[in-house]
Order: sequence, then structure tokens, then C-alpha cells
Amino acid sequence: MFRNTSAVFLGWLLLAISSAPVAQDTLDRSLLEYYREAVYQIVVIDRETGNKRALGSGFQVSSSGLLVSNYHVISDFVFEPAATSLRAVDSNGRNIPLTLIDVDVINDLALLQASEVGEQFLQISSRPYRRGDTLYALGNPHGFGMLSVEGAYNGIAENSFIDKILYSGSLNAGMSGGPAIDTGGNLVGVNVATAGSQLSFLVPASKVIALLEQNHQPTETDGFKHRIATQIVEFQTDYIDYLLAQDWPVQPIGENASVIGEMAPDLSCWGGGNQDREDRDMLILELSCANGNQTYLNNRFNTGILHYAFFYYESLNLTADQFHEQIGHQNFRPDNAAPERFMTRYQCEQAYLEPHPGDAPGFRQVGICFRAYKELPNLYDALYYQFSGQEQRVLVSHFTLAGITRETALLFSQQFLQVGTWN
Amino acid sequence: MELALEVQELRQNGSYVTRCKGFPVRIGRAWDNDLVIRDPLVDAYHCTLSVNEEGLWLVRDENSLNGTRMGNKRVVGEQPLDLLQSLQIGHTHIRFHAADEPVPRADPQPQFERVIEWMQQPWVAIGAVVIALCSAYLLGAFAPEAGSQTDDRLSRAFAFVLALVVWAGFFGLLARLLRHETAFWGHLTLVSGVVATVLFARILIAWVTFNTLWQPLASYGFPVVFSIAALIWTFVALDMSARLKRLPRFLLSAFFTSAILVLFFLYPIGGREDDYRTPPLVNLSQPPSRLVATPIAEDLFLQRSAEIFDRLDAQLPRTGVPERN
Repeated sequence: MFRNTSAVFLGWLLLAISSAPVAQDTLDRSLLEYYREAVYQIVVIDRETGNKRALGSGFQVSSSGLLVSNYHVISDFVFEPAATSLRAVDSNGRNIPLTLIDVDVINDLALLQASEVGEQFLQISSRPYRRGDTLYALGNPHGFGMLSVEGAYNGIAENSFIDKILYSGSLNAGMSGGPAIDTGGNLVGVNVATAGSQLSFLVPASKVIALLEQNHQPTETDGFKHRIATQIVEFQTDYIDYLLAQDWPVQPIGENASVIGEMAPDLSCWGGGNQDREDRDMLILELSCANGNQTYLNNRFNTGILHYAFFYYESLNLTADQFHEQIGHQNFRPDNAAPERFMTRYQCEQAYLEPHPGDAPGFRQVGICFRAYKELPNLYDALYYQFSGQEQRVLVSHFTLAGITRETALLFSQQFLQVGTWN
Repeated sequence: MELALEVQELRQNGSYVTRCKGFPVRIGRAWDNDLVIRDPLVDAYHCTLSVNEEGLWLVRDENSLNGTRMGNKRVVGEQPLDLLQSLQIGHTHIRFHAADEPVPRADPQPQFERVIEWMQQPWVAIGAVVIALCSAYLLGAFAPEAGSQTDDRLSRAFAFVLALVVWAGFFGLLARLLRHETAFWGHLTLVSGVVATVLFARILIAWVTFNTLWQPLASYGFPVVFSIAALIWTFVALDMSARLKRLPRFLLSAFFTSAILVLFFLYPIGGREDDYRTPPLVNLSQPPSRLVATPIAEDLFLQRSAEIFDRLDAQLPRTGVPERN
């Protein structure tokens, strides 16, 4: 998953470099000092011990003391509001208690209210940028103090369903949630993630505006979990609708089996096999596809992933018993691990289905499992396997789809049941 | 000089005669004695009869647990043998006759001696290993693993045989400590036989689950079969051990059996992993020609799948979860 996004974006980066970006103007050093005062260190404090649990950066966006940071910086507070508290540390080292106002879990943003209003705040830019424009990412990496990193704007990352600005500058741990500003000191994006040296992502400023314009309801009894669940449901419903509306490209695998490739531009497929091995007893071909929508919920707890894969096995010189003994021992598991605290166990249904119309004789076995999110209402994970087999050939079709509603899970499964055929 | 020994088991009220050629005559439960006595109170190597240079017959107790008695006196160390008196070993009385003296006979008792002695033959043990090896090969145990990049069939077959030998050695050692008569070759036969049985039982379970898609048996099939085999071994091995009385023998058996069951159920083959609770979703273990199940329509399957959500929602805590809208 990570591998493939980074490869796509590395290609992008090379393109960007070859088009030779030229920085026209630079930010005045004194102005940089000035804007630094709008940047804070965001700390999640463990109430029991009084020590920090998570560190990040944030910045003030209004005269009323509204701060923006990353959701993933404050996620501990969302899941354990009783055990933690939020605090901002300004450039003079003063501690300011914070209140969480809203989150945007899809774009990884959090909106906070400072109890003491600082003087400086950042204007949000709405003007378009060109590739190569200089940006400055501000933040407090590792708690060493405020740092600015110069880099270039490289446009909106391609092949991603979630808008992200591609930024060629190195963000470090702790700079998450900090602002990236242009030479005029306007907010262009929010530091969010890095995909390797000099390759980083920013949340576009338009997402910050959208979050500010939300009608912020008072905090509910279950904190922000209901809000997060609603955001994921809305996003995933749109996303699955978009996927189901695509024309899924059929492609051959093995001698006479058909599967699908990249069902939408934001999915990326990888292939492999053992064709080059001379002493092989069976042919194994693999096609594995995944999207980049990893929505961070908590440490070790992500959602939003769609991963589907196909495995084609053909016996070359094994008996039917030997062949099935071997592939029967393959481990077919879900691609997303989630802690038991947040998830129920999988509940499954499996059956032999009538073969696809036109399929060669053999069996078709399908298993499907769902599990529910314990703290996020109406959200489920889906896990699906289809085996269609003959004496000496087997095709395995599989998907893992995380963070969906029951309706979308069934719609997607219904369409995926048509995938993986023999001709 | 020949001596005829009449062995009379008081318990079963039968007797048979063994003619012994040459001295010494070793008596005990172990199969390689000159006179084998199947009696739990008899040691594997219980006592020895011999002749000294003067032609005097001697009996020597080999530090047996329950002792050897001549007349009603316990034999201590080596003593001259009184041919007019009977020798008592456990439940068994031994009377002596000269070689040319006619001896009244009774039918020998049907026992497991034949089977156990047969099991102890090296060629039988090697035959059992070959059978286990062939079953494993035919059932695909050494076929190259689907995901692996190396072909290690030979080394896996070698490791398989080595494992049989190691286990037989281990059980043989255990049997020595328990003064059980079955030695290494006997255990090699036993272990190979159990492994072949497990392999075939596993295929049977795979076939049943393949047709019925019965998840629990599919996931725990192998541990179940293995536990049963281990249970049988534990009972057989411990039951044949003369060192223990009935109750401690039962308690030890129960302890070992439950330990094995707990081990295999809590830590299924392959180890504990993050999502080990995921049931095996599909069963590929059999060729489709063995399928006897009737396929259903897609719509019915989706309808059943939709019911999963109701089962899941029933598991969720009611408090704090807003109603669906």
C-alpha cells in the first residue's frame, strides 16, 4: 500500500523537478518570525501522570482564538476524553488549555478553541498556486522548538480520492498540524504526512475553510465518536457509489480466468508470480490492488481501506490431492488488523454458489464476514473470499473493505460476486 | 542341561510351559527376556536364574520393586534355587520341572504379547515408518508450499522421519523411566501408526468440512485429531506402566490429556495471531470432484449475509450508541 503510493508520487516528483521550479520571491525573515507567533505546540496530556501522550503543532486561524491542527495529533483525546486533556504551548512557553470544537477525520483536521486568545493568526489563502511556488512549513518537531522548512508546492496529488497537496519539503514528526504558508504569509495547507525524504503532503486550505464553516454543535455525550462515524459513513458512501459507477476493467489471469484490474484511478494494482521458477510444481499468479484512503482513527486503528486481490493456482505436476492440500493450507486473512477494543469479532456466512453463467464445471465457494465498530455507530468492516476451482486450477478472489455501512457493504459485495470468472 | 519352567498365573487360573535352553534365564515384563511375564507387578527385568560352576541353580532378584519370593521368603540378592518350591513374582507363580518330566498343560491365555512383540521388531517399525512416509507423501504433506520460493520436499520428508525417530526415542526414554517393557522400536511403530492415522483422519475431516463448510471443525480439525491420538497414547502408555496404582495412573492420564487439549485448543497449529479468530472462510482442501453439496443462488447468499448485521448489532452495547436513522 505505502510502497505503491510512494512510487506513484516519486514519479510525480521527478516530473516536477524536470520542469525546473523557480522561486520568484522569498519570505521576509522578520515576517517569518511574526508568523511563528501564530503557531503553537499542541500537547495531549495524560491526566493521571500529568505527562504528554502526544505532540504536534497547530496554528491560530481567527481573531477569536480558533486553532487548527491534525486530527491524528489529538486522537487520544477523542477516544479517551476522561483520561486526557488538550493544551497548547505558545512561542513563549506558556500553557494554554484547549477545547475541541470539531474534527474532520477524513482530511485529518481538528478545530480547537484556545482559552487565551493570541495576537497573531494566519489568513487563509484562496488564490491558486503554481507548481514550484515556495512554501514554508512551520511546526515544532520533537518539541525542539519552532522550525520552518522551505519547500515547493507541487499541485494536488494525482490518483488520490482525498485531495492532498504534494509538497517537496521534509516534514518531521511533531510538525503535524502545523501550517504551510506562502511567501505572503497566507495559509496554503496543513502539514499532515510524509511519504519519504522530501516528499510530504498538506491538507489543502479549502478543507480548513470547510471545517470552519461547519455548524459546530455542542459536544455530545459520546464525545466526537458519533461525529467521526457520520463523516466516515458520508465519505465512504460517496466513495463506494463512485466505485460502483466505474466500468471495472476485466483482465485475464492464467490460462482462462478473468479478474478485474484498477477499478478506479485512485486504486493501484501490483502483480507477481512464480513463472520464472523452473522447478515449480504449480503456477501461482497474484494480482493485488489497494486504494490510498487510509483514514487514521487511533494508534493501530485505521479504516477506509479497500484492498482486493486475486490468486491463480494451476497444478503442473501435482495430483489433485497434493494440489488441494497445498492451496488449502494458504492463509487467507483480512488485510486490516484492528484492536479488539474497537471491533467485534467477525461474523461470517459461507456457501457453495452456482457457478457464474458460462463458467467451466467445478465449484464456486463464497465466504463473507462483517464485523462492527464498537464505538462508531453504523460502521462495519467487510471481508470476502470467493474460490472457484477445478481439479487442477483454482482462482481466489478476495476483498477487504473497511469502514462502510451495511447497505454499501452489501451493494459492493453484490457487484464483486460477479468478479472472478472462467471463460 | 535343560530346565522346563511351568508358569502359572494364579489370577487367570491358566498355565503354560516354557522350555529354557541354556542359562542364564532372564525373567521380566520386557519383550527381550527369556521368559516374558505380562503382569503389572512384574518389573521389566525382574529376576535371573543361573547355574554356577558347581552345577548349583541360583536365583537373583534384579532389585525388583515388588520382590521375588521363594516359598514365602523374599529372595535377597542371589540365592540357591529350591526346585521343590515355587517362585512367586507378582501374581505369577513359577514351578520348575526337569526337562524329561511330563508336565500337565493348560491352554495359554490369549494376551497382547504377540502384538507387542511383533511391534518391537525393527523391521515392523521400519515398515510402519515407510507407511507413514508414504501416506504423508500421497496426501500432499511434502508438496511444495504454494507461497514458498524454495523446493524443500526432500528436507521436509527427512525432517518428518527424523521427528518420528525423535518422538519414539523420547517415549522410549519415558518408558524406561516408568519401567515399561515397550522400547524404542515399539514406540517407533506406535508413533508412526498414530501419525498415519492422524493424516488420514485429517483428510476425512477436511472432506466433511469441505462438503458442509462447518467452520469450527475446519479450524480445529487437526488439533482435535491430534489430541485424540495423544490421549490414546497417554492412556495406553500409562496404563501399561506397572509402577503406578490405578488412581494415580488415572489422575496422571487425565492431567496429561487435559494439558494436551488445552495446549491444542488455546494455541492452535500456526500459533496465536492478531486475527486468529477469523474463521477459515473457504475450504480448498479437496478437489471439486469430491463435492457433494448443493450450490445455492447468489440472492439467497446475499440475503443470508445481510442477517450477519443483525447478529453483530445484537453484540454491541446498547448504551451510548444512537439509534440508526
